[in-house]
Amino acid sequence: MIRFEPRASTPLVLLVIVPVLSALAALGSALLILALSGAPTARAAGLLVQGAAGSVFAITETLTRATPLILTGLAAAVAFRAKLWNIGAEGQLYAGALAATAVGTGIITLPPLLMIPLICIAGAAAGALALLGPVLLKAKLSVDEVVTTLLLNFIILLFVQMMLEGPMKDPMGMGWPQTSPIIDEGVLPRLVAQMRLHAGIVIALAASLFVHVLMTRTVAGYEMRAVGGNASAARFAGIPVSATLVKTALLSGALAGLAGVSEVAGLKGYLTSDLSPGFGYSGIVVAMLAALNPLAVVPAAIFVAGVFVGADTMSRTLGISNYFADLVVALALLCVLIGSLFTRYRLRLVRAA
Amino acid sequence: MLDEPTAVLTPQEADSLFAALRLLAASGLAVLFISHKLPEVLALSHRIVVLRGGRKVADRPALGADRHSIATLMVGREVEVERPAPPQPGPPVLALSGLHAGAGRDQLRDIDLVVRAGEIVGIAGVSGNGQQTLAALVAGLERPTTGRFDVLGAPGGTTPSDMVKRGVGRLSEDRHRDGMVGEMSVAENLVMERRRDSAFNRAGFQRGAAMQEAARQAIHAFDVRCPGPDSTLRLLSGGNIQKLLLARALAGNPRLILANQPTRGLDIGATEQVHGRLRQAAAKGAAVLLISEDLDELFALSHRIAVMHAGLMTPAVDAARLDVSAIGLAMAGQASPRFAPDREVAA
Repeated sequence: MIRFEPRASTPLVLLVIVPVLSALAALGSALLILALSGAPTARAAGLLVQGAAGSVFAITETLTRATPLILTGLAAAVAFRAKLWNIGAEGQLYAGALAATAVGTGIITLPPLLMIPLICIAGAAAGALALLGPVLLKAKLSVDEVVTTLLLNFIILLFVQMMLEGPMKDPMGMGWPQTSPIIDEGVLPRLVAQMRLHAGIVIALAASLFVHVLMTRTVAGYEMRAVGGNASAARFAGIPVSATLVKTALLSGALAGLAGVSEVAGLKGYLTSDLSPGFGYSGIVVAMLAALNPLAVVPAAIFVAGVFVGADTMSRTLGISNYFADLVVALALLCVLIGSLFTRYRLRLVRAA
Repeated sequence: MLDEPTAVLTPQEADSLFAALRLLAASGLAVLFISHKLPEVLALSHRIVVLRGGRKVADRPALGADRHSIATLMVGREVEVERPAPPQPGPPVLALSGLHAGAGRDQLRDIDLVVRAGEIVGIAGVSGNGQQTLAALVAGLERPTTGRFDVLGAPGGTTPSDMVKRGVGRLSEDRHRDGMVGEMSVAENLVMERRRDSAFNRAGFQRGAAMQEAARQAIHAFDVRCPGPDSTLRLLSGGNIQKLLLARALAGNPRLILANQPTRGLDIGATEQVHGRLRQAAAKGAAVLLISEDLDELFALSHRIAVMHAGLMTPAVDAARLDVSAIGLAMAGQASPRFAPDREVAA
C-alpha cells in the first residue's frame, strides 16, 4: 500500500525538478496523442522546438509572446494568493491599453523618458480601476468576484469597440476600427535589431521581481498572504481584510493593465479590438503552472509562449491544427497539479498489517 | 462506545445520561465511555483504562482510584493540585453595564459585569447562549448596541487592533478557524498582531531576523514542539498551536486577557500549562475573562463565576460559594439563590 504523508518542508531541488518534469510529461503525452492520430511525431516535435527556440528569431518571438503572459500571470498570482479570484485580467488588459492609447496618441507630447512612464502609469491605473468595482462589491456586499470580473471583460471589450468605432477612431485609418498610432516618443524601444522583441519584457521582468519582494519581504505582502491563507484569523489578529483585498485588487489590475500597455505601445503600435488573443485567461494558466510564485511566473510564461509560437511553426509546415498548443498547455496544467502532490507529500510504501 | 458524550451537556443532563448508561450496563451491555473529565469517569465507570501517547498505561478498578492518581497517570508525572490563589482585586479593567449586543440566538441582553485587575472571572454556560458575542465584543469584532463597555476606564475599542493597542490579549475560541494561518510559518503567525510595530517593521519591510528571534524565544518559553520558527503552522498539533496563540496573546503583557475555551481539546499536559500561564498573568495583575464549558476548568481557575443562559448573565459570585449543581441549574436557566449578588458591586 502507498501512503501520502505531508512534508514538513520541501527540498528546493524538488521545487525545480517537479515542474520541469511535469512540462516534459505534458509534451510527451501530447506527442503521444499526435502519434496515435498518425502524424509524423518526431518531425512535429522537432518543428515545435525549432519554432520556439531554434533561432534568434524564434527565441525573440517566444519572449515577445511571453511578455504579456508574464504580466497577466503576475496579476492572477497576486490576486489568487489573497484568494481574490480575478478572472478579469483580459478586461483589465484592454482598459490599460485603452488608457495608454488615450494619453499616448498625441494629446500630450513629452520626451520618451517621461512619455513612456506616463503611458505605463495611465495603463496601470486604468487596469487597477477596472478591478476596483468588483473588489468593493465583494468587500462590502459579498458579491462573488468571479462573476463580476468575468462579465466585466465583455463590457470593457464592447466599450473598447465602441471607442474604436467612435471617438477614438483613427481619421487616417481608411475606415478600419482602430486608433491612431502611439506617438514615437511613447513607443517602447526594440531590443534586438530586425526583431519584434521590445522593452515590455524588461517591464515584465522588473514587475516579477517587484511582486516577489513585495510578497515575501514587506508587511503589505504579508497581509495579503495572511488574508488569503485564513481571512477569519487575519481579521481576528487585526489585519484589515477589506482594505487588504482592495490593495491586492489594485496591484493585480495594474499588472494586467501594464500587459495592455506593453502590447499596444511595444508591439502593435495602435489599439484594435483583437489586441489580445486571450492573454488575460492564459495568465491564469501561467499563474497556476507557477504555483502562484511570482518568480516562477517568468519561466511558466516563457513555456506557454514557446508552446504557442512553436505550434504555429509546426502547424504551418505539417498542417496540424495549432489547437495542439492548447492541448499541451492544458496537459501541462494537469501534470503540474499532479506534480504538486509530490512536492507537498512524501510517498511511503507501507506493508499491509 | 461513547466519545466525550457530555461535552455540550449541562451537569443535570449528564447525570440523566449516566443513569441511563448504568441501567444499560446493569442489563448486560458493555459500555465504553471515553472522556477527559475525570469526575465523570470516576463516577460512572467500573473499570478505568488510561491511555497516554497511544499506549495503555493503566487498567484498574474504579474503586479506590481518585482524581489525583488518574491525572498523574495521564500526564506521566505529578500534577499540581489546582486551587486558585486568593485574589488581590485591583481597579476594574473590564466593565460592562446594561450592555446589549449582537442579534438572534447569540445576543447579549442587559449584561452587567466587572473584571478587576488580578482576578480571573469565569463565564459558564452551554455554548450558544451569548458567550460568542461576549467574546467577539472583547476581541474587538463586535460593538455594543446599547450600554456601557469600558476597558481600563475608557470606552472599549471597536476593532481587533484597537483592542490589542489597549492592552487586551485575546485567545480565539476556535484556534484553527480564527486563530492562525495554517499555510504560514510559526514566526509569521506569532507576530501577526504586532506586524506593524517598529520591532518587526522597518519602512514597510519586515524585519526577518527579529521575527525569527521572537519566535525562537516564544517556542522556548512556551515549550512549543516544532522544528523551528520556519515550520509550517498547519503541521503542528492542536496543543502546540494553542501554546503559540497563548504566546501571541501574552506577548505585550496585556492588562486584560480574553480566554475563550482556552483548553478545549487539549491533553492534560498542555491544559496544565495553559492554566499555569493564565494564573501567572492574573498574579502579575492582569484581569482574566475566562469563557469555558468545562466546569472543572472554571473551578480550577476562577475567583468568581457567572453563568450565561439565553443571553442573560447571573451576577459573578465568589467561586467558593458555588458547586456544580448550582451552576448546572443556572446553565439550564433556573434561578439559584447562590447567585444573589454579594459584596461585588458594579463599578
